[in-house]
Amino acid sequence: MAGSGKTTLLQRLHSHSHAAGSPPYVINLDPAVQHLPYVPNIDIRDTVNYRDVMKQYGLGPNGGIMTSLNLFATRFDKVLDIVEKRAGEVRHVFVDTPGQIEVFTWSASGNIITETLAGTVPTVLLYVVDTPRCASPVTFMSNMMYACSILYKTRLPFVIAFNKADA
Amino acid sequence: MRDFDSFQQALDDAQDPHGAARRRAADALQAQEVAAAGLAGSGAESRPERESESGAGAGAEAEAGVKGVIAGVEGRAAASKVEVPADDGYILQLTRSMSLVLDEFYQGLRYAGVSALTGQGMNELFEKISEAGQEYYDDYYPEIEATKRRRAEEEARRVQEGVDRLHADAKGGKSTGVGEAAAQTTAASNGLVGAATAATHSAVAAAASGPGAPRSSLGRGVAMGIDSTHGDGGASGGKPAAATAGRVSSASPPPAVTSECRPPVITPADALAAAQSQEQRMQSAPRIGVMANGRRLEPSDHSVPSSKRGESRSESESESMQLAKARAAAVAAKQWMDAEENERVRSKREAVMLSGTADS
Repeated sequence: MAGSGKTTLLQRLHSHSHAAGSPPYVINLDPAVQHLPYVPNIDIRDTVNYRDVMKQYGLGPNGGIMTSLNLFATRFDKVLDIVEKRAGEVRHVFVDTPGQIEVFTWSASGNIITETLAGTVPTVLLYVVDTPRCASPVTFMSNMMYACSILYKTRLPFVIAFNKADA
Repeated sequence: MRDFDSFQQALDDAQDPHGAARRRAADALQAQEVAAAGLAGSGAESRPERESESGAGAGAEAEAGVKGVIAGVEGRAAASKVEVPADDGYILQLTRSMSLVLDEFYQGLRYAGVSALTGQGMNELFEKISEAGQEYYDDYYPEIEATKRRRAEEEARRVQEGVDRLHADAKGGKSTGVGEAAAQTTAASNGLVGAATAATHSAVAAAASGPGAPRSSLGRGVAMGIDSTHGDGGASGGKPAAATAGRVSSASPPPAVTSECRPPVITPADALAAAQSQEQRMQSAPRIGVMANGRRLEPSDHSVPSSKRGESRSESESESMQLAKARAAAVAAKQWMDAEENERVRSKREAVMLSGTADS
């Protein structure tokens, strides 16, 4: 979910793993992010320039992200190769996704990325929920419906992280 | 605008004096959120709700919406329990039914309350992730392996089917199609000048390796045409070319209309071309040819059993005879082509009649 703190949570996962003595491998798939609080091992921004994609194809923000992801998905086999190669060394590989559910979960490229990843290495979905916003029953319910739809779409093991629990 | 109704109902519950001002809120989404928050608030206690309503009355509607949400959250927090009042508002009904739908989903739900900011609950989250990783091996992995295996089997079966079909085609081609025709041609012309045989072979091969490969009627048509030409030539060498042509044209259509043959559209023209090329080759081919199996064909090659040879084939048949036959085949093919053209123009019924007469 957009704005639920995925990137921040990833930073926390990153630092927590480091503290636990097992540095993770981190992949950033969000082309539109301005600044990352962690250093990713693979960054989609190195491959695709989101702003250029938007300009070149005359797209809006979401279309730009989607096209960037589509372009990146064509090279995702390379990413899988690297991940497979590093699989013996690292305990976790974290993948930071774009926040827009329709952009990642319901797009062809997102599907390709998720499924090829799940076919290569054990994959767990981490659905990050913005807890304070869930105070409204309707928001909570739509959040859960999204989570449910993603679970049934991917059929992958699923963990929901209720983020911002301190708020 | 059903959610707007529920929103209004929420306002009524709170006995809002500024309901009319809020009713003008155009944004349905905003109205929805306000309604939900308002409901939650009114369910808990009416104090924060009133606060928000007074805010709404004083300020802009958008601001009122946001405040309503905040107030609703506060009110709910004060009650420390989600209290959804008995109501028949649309959103409430929807939320209720959705929550029932999600019951099954909640049963096996793995969750962790975390804070990315403070690091609270991270250990729990990692535990859950490990659990989920185990679940991947328990549930997803066997499934994906089964899928992979099934796909591999399907692929293997598909390939095997293709190979079988190819074998069947090759076999069928030998017994009924090009192979047989070629064999007949060989047998018929074995006693002939070797060069002519080689040329015939290459002509048939050229035609057969065209668009249709072994199953093409093209190769068969040509082969049959040549075969019948030879047969005619063998049986009654002195027959006029027209008779030969007639024989060819009556012999040729069946392969074109049998179901396993390709559409006859490409057949006649190619047959004509093949026949012409045969003629050309005959003119230019060396007198001693090499058959497809590598055996050299001498003009007086007796290695083939006599039973396979043409019954009354004379070994000394001249090359000019061959040329004449090739021309006859070309003429026949042309006639056939014309016939095909006519047939295409005519109606289906007439076509059936035509093929009937052609057969007879």
